[in-house]
Amino acid sequence: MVDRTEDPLDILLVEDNDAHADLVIRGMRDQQVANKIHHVTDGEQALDYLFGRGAYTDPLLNPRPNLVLLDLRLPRVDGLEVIRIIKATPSLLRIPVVILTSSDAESDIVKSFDYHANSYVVKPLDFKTFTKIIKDLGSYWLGWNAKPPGD
Amino acid sequence: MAAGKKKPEDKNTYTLGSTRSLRDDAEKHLARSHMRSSELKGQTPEQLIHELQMHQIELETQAEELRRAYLALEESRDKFLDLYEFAPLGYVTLNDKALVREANLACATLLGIERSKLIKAQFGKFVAQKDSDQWYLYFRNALNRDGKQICTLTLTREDGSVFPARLEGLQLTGSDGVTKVRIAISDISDIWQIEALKRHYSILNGILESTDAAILSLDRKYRYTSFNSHHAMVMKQLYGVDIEPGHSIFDYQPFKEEQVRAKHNIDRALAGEHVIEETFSGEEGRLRRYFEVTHYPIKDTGKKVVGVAVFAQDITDRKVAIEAIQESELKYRTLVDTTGTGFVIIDNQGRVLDANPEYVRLTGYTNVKEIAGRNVNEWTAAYVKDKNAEAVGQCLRDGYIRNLEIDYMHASGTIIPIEINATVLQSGDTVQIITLCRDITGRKQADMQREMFIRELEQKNTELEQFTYTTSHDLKSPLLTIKWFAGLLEDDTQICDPVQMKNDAHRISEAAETMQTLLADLLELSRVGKIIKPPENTGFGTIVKESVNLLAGPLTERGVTVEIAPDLPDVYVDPARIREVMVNLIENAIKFLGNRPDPLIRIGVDDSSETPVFFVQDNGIGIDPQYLDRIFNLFERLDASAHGSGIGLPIVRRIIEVHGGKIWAESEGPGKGTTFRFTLPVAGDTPADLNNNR
Repeated sequence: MVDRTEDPLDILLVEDNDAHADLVIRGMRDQQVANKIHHVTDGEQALDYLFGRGAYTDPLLNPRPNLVLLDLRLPRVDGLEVIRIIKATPSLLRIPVVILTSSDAESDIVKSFDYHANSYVVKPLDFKTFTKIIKDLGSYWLGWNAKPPGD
Repeated sequence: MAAGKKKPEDKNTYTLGSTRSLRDDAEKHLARSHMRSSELKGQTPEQLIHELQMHQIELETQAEELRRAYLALEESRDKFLDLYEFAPLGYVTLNDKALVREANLACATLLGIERSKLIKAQFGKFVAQKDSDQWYLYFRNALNRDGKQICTLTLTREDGSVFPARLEGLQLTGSDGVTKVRIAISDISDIWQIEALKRHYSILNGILESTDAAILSLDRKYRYTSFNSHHAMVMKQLYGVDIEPGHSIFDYQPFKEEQVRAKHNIDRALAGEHVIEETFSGEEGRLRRYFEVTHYPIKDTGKKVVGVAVFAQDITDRKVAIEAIQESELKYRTLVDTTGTGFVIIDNQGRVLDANPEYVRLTGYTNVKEIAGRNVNEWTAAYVKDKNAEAVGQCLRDGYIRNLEIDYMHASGTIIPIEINATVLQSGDTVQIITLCRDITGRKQADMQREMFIRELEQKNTELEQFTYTTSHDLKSPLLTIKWFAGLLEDDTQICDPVQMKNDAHRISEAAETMQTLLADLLELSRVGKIIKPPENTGFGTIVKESVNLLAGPLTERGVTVEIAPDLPDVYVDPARIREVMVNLIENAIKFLGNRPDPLIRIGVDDSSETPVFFVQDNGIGIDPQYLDRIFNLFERLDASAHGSGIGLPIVRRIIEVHGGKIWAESEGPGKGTTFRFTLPVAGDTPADLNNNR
């Protein structure tokens, strides 16, 4: 089912924990939908990437993502601020943003949805569950979820 | 009195007519008695002559007696006539129509009219209008009843003046058979005056007797000439004596001291002075009575002082009442003077009429005389002058002001916040405002402190929430890593990939180390919070040198130049803790020096302001100003790749804060270096209560 002929879909992974990022990348590698992960480690980098500025001015190297996987607790600019800005920016607001975080704090969940996060996923303790979630996220957001036109 | 003698008088008047008519009457009489002449026929002429001669002698003798009686009568009649005419009583005879028939001179004099005009006048016109009914009844009674009829009424003289008169009337029937009334009139003005005087006297006496003042009069030898019963009673009560007129007052007064005093006053009055003095009698205690004694000189018509009138008013009750009021006033005054509340009375313009010492203190002056008459606005802080003036107006309108908060400002510039409660007191046309002013400096400070504590507490609470949040998240992250890679390892064992297995194992070990660091940091942070040893005066320069020595390795390795300002002040701190701060800040600076070829760290103090501000400055990579606030947050790292757990700066802030100081970072941006600035209690300052800042 893997359609390797299609252009890979781009995922922006915002994760300051290298180990976590490593596992997400591994998980996505096994997806049925071809994808390319762009990993940044703090909120500032994430915004620079999305706005195509700083180190991310080249649109070929740093294409507009089809999905953002966003951790909340990040250096410099935290995840909540990143999603707020994304969803307040007309050119970015249609990009699906999935919060992937270890925080199950109610305030984080509420704020994320208030800022129009498309989904909120708590990193599970169990590795198998984690693997499944990554798999499901990939198939759902990259597969079943309709892509906004023009993207 | 002359009424009974009327008949003989009438006959005399008749007989006195002429001697001739008497003879004629006799002839006629003889002529009519023929029978008597015939009786004489049987007698001899000699007998007859003798008889006749005898008769003649008898007759002559009788005539002589009659003549004598007549003279006596005439004399008597003249006497009575004089009496009648010149009697002090007025006599008037009225006919049955009350017209005046006869009146004596006295009557005319009494009525102030000529006798000729009085005759035939209607007597009623001399009766005062108000008594006319009484007169009518009286006259009817006098006319119709036997016996003397008496009444008093007011008569009017011809000239209109009036006088009280007593009328004694008697009915009499004249020779003509007509009933008449004779009235004796007497002027009783004097009697009335005496009676009026008697009445006045009895009123005065009643007053003198009923007053609770002792009233007495003395002659020049201090002897009682009169006294009222109250004085007698008082003397009886005080000295147990029954006083009597004619005795000297000093015969009764047993206390020498009182005698001297009383005598002095009486002597002054005898010298013509009007003396009023307050004095007392009797022994101290319940028996003692207080008097206000007035001495008046009594003068005779020649203005010579003949005695003294003394009025002694017992003022004991009044005095007791006044003393009670004075005592109560003193009590309140003391209360007002010693109370911690400022008390001021102002007029409707806001001028001070009276104030207690506390109020004077609030104004910044020392004596009430300095502020009396001045307007309260003078010591009202400029920015609330309008508010205060408005409040005075409102108070005058509404009658009161409650809990008004304004500031007073002393000439020295000291500001005292006060709370005002005022009430208008109106008596007559005078309007006063009674104002209570409470110094609320303490309350304000307490309020401020409370608000500060609340803010601090809220901040701590937020910090704590943040801490819990951060801690759980940051501890969870490596935990997840461990779990996940442990899971991976299980999978790896199946595919037997030793490289992958080694990598995964490394990840696990790394995460475990991260956790260990985090836990150690948390422990450290909690330890920092539970500071500390008592602060001591320490040279800041010493602490800096020690810190630099501790970091000699990394500093040399990186080739950092460290510049330490000379003459750093002494600080009042826990030196070990502040050394920790310095080590952390220098380490931090080393970490972010970047790749500069000439790395420099400057440590110094800016003492241009009141509180010296210490600084640690580097010429490293700098910080984007938008992140300056976040760098002190727990586990905050501006760079995901940077080493450390992000706990160094939170610890630094914590230590500075428990010392009562503040810390902040400054940077002009990336590549421009960073300066950390902080304050600390300087030696000699009031030591910050470190325990309060936990």
